[in-house]
Amino acid sequence: MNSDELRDLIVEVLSEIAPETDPAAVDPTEDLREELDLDSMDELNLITRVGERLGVDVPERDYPQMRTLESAVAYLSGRLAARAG
Amino acid sequence: MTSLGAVRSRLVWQTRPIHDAPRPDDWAWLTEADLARAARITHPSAMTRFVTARALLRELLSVVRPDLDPARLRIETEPSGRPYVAEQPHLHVSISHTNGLAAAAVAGAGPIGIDVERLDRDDLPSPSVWLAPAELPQLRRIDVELRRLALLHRWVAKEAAIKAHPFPQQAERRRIALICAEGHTAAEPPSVRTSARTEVRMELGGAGTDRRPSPAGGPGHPAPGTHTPPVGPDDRRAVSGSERGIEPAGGTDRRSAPAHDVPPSDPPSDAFWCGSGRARLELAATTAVGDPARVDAGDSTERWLSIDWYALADQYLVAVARPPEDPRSAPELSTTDLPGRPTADRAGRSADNGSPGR
Repeated sequence: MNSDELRDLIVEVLSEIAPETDPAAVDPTEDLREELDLDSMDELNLITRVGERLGVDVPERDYPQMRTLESAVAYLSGRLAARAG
Repeated sequence: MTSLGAVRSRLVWQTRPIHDAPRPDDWAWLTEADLARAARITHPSAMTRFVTARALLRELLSVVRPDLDPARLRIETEPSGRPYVAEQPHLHVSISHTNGLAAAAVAGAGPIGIDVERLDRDDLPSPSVWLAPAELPQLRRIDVELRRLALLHRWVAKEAAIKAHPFPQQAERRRIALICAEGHTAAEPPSVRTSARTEVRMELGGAGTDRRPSPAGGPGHPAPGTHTPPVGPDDRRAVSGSERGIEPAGGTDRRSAPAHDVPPSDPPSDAFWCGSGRARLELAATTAVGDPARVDAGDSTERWLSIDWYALADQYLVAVARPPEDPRSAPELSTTDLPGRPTADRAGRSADNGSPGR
């Protein structure tokens, strides 16, 4: 899965959690919690659902790396590459 | 004049509805730094939530520490999101928000944690993601039709508890177990204190004689140097509690329960519901996925606290976590008399200042 596909997956899950999300307007460098008004339960749902779809368990200590769309894509790319390698 | 000793023992928490846009009074509480941060938030509702919560927090700081100018306090955020007051490390603050409601808590001494959720929330994450191994078997004993409510109670309690007592960074929710203390478990949903309003303030004062300093000019006038936002005609900061007052739910009167100095041992293993009261926060030795976790020597792996639940307007559930060594065995819920606000003596008159929430 390349970066674009990862980004699309994350935005898709975001749209499930925050239906008012405009996929084209999500700033990749902004904190998603503030950009989309996510609370702590939303954040946990986002990360766990993305992880489930990718078959990746994201430990809570890595949650800070999932705070922006850009960093989340980079983190998940790394996890998938490590799994494949 | 209130002594600082009495002030430091004060604990206040308050909830406030989040409207479509910040109120003028909320803006008035914000510092330049707060405004700059608000300006960086692009999502309108996220910005409103930030402004509402930050204004509420500054207002509560002015209640707990009337000797300080809240406009001169820098509220910073740890990487975890936990707020703190840069100039006052002894002050403990906590915030929470959910759709439609913000909450803040300030304690002059001792840690404090607060969490709010909507009672109709039905998208809780899978329990295996955030419950510790020790908590999962307990959950299975809850009737299926009560399970969502049980999880919701556990969620807010655990969030509030972790905010009050954050373990080291590597500690995850599923490594932290909330263990009910013996005598504080329940086979049914725990007793919660209820209010018909969503904007409520709870204040645990000192020894009952604690009063904020008489401001210059008499009651209703701000003390010199105090940052006080203008009072508008619809000042929803004027909180009184509901026309019913803040009523303890039926059940055990905890004010007659002895304060425990020694934590009870071996709580019942099937206790998922915690009655309001003491609980133990325990750092598990392993994660739910069996990954042995490093527990540093010297880390405290067990902490005690008190948790209380409150239901507001049948819409929201609030949990407040505070130290169990608090000498008050139960929160003495009282309405705070602020200028222009109805007093508790007038409970029972129909309230015209507050349809709750939005």
